[in-house]
Amino acid sequence: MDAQLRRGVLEICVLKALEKQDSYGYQIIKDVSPYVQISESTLYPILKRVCAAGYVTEYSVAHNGRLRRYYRLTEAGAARIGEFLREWEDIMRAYSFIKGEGR
Amino acid sequence: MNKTEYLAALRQRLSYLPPEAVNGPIGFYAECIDERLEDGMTEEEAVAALDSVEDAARSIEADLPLATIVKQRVKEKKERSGGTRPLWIVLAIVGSPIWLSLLITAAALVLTVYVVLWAVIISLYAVVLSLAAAGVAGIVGGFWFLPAGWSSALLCFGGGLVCAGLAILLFFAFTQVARWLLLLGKKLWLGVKALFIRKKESK
Repeated sequence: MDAQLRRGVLEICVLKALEKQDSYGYQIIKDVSPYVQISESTLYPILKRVCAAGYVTEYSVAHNGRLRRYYRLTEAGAARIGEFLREWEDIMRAYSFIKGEGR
Repeated sequence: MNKTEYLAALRQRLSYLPPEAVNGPIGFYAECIDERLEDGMTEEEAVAALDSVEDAARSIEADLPLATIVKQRVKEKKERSGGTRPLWIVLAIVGSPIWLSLLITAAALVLTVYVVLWAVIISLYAVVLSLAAAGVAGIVGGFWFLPAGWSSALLCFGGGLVCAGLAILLFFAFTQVARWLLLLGKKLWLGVKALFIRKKESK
């Protein structure tokens, strides 16, 4: 997959992983990795980027004698998922055309 | 390799960077190792599941602002050579007509590319704006020309509709082109930034 496309898709996967409930780094990796390959090295910059863009906020909670950093999806983040899905519909139409479906 | 060794190796690999740039990602890796330990893995297994120190370091470097990387690399070189030697100062001054002009040329080249990209984007939207203005003027003008005769009024009105239609169509097309151009600009910037990131073999 093209690196730029992969980065964009991963960003949305991370937002999606936070849609139902707040989550933390390792849990996000476990939730996303069955669908797209992701590691700590790719997740950390994505989390920084989505936080900077206002799609996600972060907070810490004490857990087993240490701090666990949680991430929460904002309204802007939820809107970004919707925007991505709308954009992707155009791509899916092109995909069907390329595959020769619907003729 | 256990947790302490992995984090120490990562910190050592990034030792040329300011601590505030490194503490965040290292804390993140430490947290991920702790989570794996809670999941029942041993420290060695948890570390083995992470990316290699080199890959982790490169990913952290790639995420830093260019200014931070350049500043730290200059500082690092200075420290390695034990401060700026008089010979280097003399060479820098003597060679300045060459390296300074090359540096200015390179900076001007990068700036020119950016100016051209933005100029193209602005021009495209200027075309859309002109067509939209012509469309509105044509439609309003159509009514204006009604007393002069149906043919002139219809011609003006039709022309206005064509311009308005083109403006709407081109707005979407040009928005996509603008996105591509911005993406191109970003890729160029990342290319320039990559020149300053420490090469794998130079460690």
